[in-house]
Amino acid sequence: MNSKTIANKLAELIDANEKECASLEKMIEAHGVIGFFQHLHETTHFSTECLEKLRAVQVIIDQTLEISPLSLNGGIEYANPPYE
Amino acid sequence: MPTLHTNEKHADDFIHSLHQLTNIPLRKLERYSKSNQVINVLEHPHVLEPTATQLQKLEQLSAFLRSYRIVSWAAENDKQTIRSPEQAGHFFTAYLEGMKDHEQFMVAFLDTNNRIIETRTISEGGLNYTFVHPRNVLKAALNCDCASLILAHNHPSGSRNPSPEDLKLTQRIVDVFSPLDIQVLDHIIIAGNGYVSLAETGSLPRAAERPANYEIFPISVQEPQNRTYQQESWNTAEYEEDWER
Repeated sequence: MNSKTIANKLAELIDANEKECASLEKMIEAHGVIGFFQHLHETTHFSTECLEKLRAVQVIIDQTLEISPLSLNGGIEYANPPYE
Repeated sequence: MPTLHTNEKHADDFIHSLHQLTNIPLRKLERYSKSNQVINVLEHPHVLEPTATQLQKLEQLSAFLRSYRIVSWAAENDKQTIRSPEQAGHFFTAYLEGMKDHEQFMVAFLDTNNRIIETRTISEGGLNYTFVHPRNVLKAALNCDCASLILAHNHPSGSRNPSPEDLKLTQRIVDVFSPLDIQVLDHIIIAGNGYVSLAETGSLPRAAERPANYEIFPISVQEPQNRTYQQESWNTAEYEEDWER
């Protein structure tokens, strides 16, 4: 999944205009999508409304993705395949 | 109690954020959250009977969160290899967690270094079933010259028990790939916030038992044995008559 795809999804969600969409793409390409949210406070490329929505996305990310999935069994590694 | 306050604050922030992104009225979200987990609104988007625009926003939010999980996984695993059930569980969780409205069957095709060549959705079904066509898995595997593969699907009900069909399907796929020296490394089941690995539980078949069978195969979620409520019998004839009128 490239920066453009993820930037487009985010732009759609926050109703970003064309200019903001281009900024999203550039920033996600530079920092990665995780880094983008970490650098959100430094940015001046977005309208107040857009910034508020981006912060709202960040809250939802933090609250829905903070829990690592649990293995319901033990922990093993796959055996080395015969071709190696 | 500080924990309670933190949780309340989190729920409040979540509700306000959801309102901001979807325009679902704040009062509606607050009322719902008093007796329900507000995350349901994302997992079951129709639960608050949203307008078409609100529904579209919920779907866009879920699609973005799924992409975010996949990209996060890739960032943490820069070689994009899967060497353990734990890594496989995390990988498929990115795709299938929170999918509560239908079952989806996926396969990751790996090279000789367990690097992911391709991940593909093979089929999507209903609330507690899907159909898998082994021929489609075989075709995709040969097209990308994989050395091994990992199967995965979700249980929307959150049931952690592999159904008898899950186990039979795994054996069927092993029967297809074993003669071709393509190893089936695991079958991951995403259930609630966790996953079950057939390799970890020792339920993964190691060798082919029968000649390959390419017939379409249904898989469904096993219902708990200790159900209290009786399921009503569904008299289809009665409804068919209605349809005919």
